[in-house]
Parts: sequence; C-alpha cells; structure tokens
Amino acid sequence: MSKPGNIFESSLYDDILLSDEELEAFDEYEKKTLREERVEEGKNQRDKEYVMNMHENGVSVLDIVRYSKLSQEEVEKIINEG
Amino acid sequence: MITDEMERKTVKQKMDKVISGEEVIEGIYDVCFKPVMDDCPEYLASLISLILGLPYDYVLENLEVSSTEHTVARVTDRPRRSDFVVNIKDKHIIIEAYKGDYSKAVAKKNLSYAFRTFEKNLDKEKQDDYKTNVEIFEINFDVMKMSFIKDDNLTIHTFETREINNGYLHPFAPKFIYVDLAKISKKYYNKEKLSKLERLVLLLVLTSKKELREVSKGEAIMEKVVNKLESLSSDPIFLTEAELEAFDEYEKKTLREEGVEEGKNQRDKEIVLKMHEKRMDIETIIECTGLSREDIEKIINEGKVG
Repeated sequence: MSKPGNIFESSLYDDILLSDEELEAFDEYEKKTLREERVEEGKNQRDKEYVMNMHENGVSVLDIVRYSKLSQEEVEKIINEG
Repeated sequence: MITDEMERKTVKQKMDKVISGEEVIEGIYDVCFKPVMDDCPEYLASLISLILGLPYDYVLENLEVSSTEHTVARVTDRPRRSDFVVNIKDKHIIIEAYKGDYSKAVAKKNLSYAFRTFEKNLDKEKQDDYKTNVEIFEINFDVMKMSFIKDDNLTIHTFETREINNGYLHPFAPKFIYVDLAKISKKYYNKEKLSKLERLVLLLVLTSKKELREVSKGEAIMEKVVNKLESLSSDPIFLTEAELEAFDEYEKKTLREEGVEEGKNQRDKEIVLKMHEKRMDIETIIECTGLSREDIEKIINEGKVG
C-alpha cells in the first residue's frame, strides 16, 4: 500500500473538517446547513413525484428530461425504482 | 407552518405523559444520557464491549470516565464538550447521542473534534512517530435515519479513515461507529429478533415504562438503567431541563420540516415555469404535476412579474 502522505495536508483534513471559526459558530452553522439539506431533500422528493406522475401520464423520458432539472439517467433511475 | 403554540402544545403533551408516570424522558436526551452512563457503569461497559468487540470484564475493570470536555490541541482552541468521553487503557472513546438529524454539519463537527484529539496524539513532523498509541473511537447513537448510509439491514456501521487518493488506512486515525437507533426501534416494534446489543441500546429510545420493563425484565444491568430513567423522570428540576431540551429539539424539527416544504415549493415553481415556457397547456400541467389550476396560474403569473 502507498505511503500515507501528510494527513494534515490531505483532502480529508482540508475539505471535510470544520474550520476553527465554523466550530466556534457551530449552532448557527448547523441550523443553516440543516435547513439547506432539507431544502434539497424537498426538491428531490418533488422530483420523484413529478417524474412518476409524468411517466404515468404517458410523457416520454426525453420530454420529462426537458421539463425537469434532471438528466436522462436520473429520470430512468427514478422510474425504475418507482 | 409550525407555530409557537403548536410547539408548546407538543412539548406539553410529551411532558404530561412523563408527569403522569406513564412515560420517561428518552435516555438519548442529554439530561438523561450523562447521568445514566455515569451511574450505570455496567451498562456503559456492556455497550462498549459489544460495539468494539472487547471482553466485558476488561472494559469494566479499565473503564475510566474522562472529562466530557474535549481535548484541546491548539492554544487558540476553546474547550468544547462531548456527550461522554471514556478511556479504556489505550483507547479513547468519544460518545455522542443525537435525537435529531445526523446532518452533514453534525458529522463535520464530530469529525473535527475527533481529529483534534488525533492531532494531539500525533507528531506532525514525523507522521508515523506517534507520541502514544492511543486509538480513537467515536460512537454515535442516532435516532434519525442517517442519510449518507445506504438502506440495508445493518444497525451498526463502522467507518475508518482512509486517504482519498491512495486508499491508505491511517492506523491511529479516528474510527467512527454509527448506531442506528431508528432501525433498532423499528425492529422492536415489528417484533423482529433483537441482538443483546440492540436490546441494550433500545433503552435509550423507549419512553413507555411498560415497554422498558418488558425489555429489561430479568437483566440486572438493564433494570438498573430503567430505574435510573424512572427516578430522573420524577425529579421536577430534571423535568424543567428536559422540557428546555425538548423545545430546542422541536425548533430543529421545525427547521427541517420548513426546509423540506421550501424545497418542494421551489421545485414546483421551477417545473411549472419550465413546462409553461415549453408551451405545455394548463390541463396537461395539472395532470403532470398534480397541482391545482389555481396554484399553477399563481406560479405562472408570479413568474411573469419576476
């Protein structure tokens, strides 16, 4: 296995971890992130509902792609899972 | 939209059941978690023993409850607190309990704390030259489903720290363990067979005294935990603290629910406007979206103004 490299300079350490300032202001940061994450969850839930609704109404995959913000692959995945 | 009045009513209903003696405050609440772990070392040792795969007697004998104040690695760091921190010889174990969503933000905070501890035990100049061979574990008990974990049958998930580029496993970097309380709870209510660890963990989420008694029956270690939960839940000072915590949790729940609604509304607007731009008629938009004519016309009119 390769040598580890310096963990303190790795992408893990730089990108994943919170900065000192973010840790200090964690409560506000958490609330902001919590809401942002849920907004995304709401969009994703609606995407699934729309795709299935359009699919059941006979709209083609390509047309669903035109009307939604999703790629063909994502639309097909939702339909297959649905 | 959840109002302050609804918030007060929901929390009051919860507290009324505790005051009437029907229920207890969940062990996962901060106000319960620390006293239970402090006063029931056998329970704590059983959990750690089963989660980390260490002999129970060894854990109990060497269990040393550390300050819940976090290791400060930098002079500029302010002291921070974790839910519970224990040492077992060369193992440093941070224990966190969550009633709410294990959001990316919380995950980041916990990673950051664990790495601060790791940093203190490592000589930065000589990466492989560890000051001590301390192994760091972070055990997270979480009530909500963890969005970043695939939906499978496992109730315990362990993560190690690897380099993204070359997959190198850092031998002493923190290991993260997630205990999915929601899934364990679901298994219990579906009457599925529970492991010993799952039955122990269940005591952190059940509130009904009847259920707690059933689960712990004949197990001295578990009965002690239930007694502690019942004794705490009959203390008026404790209940005031628990009520404050419940309000705080409700506020976060509201943020989550409002966030989901906001996301759905944003997507409704985007899709309806896009369909309208592509000259789809209102009847077809109604069929495809399931929205009412009134809502669709409102979005289109507002879109024109915007």
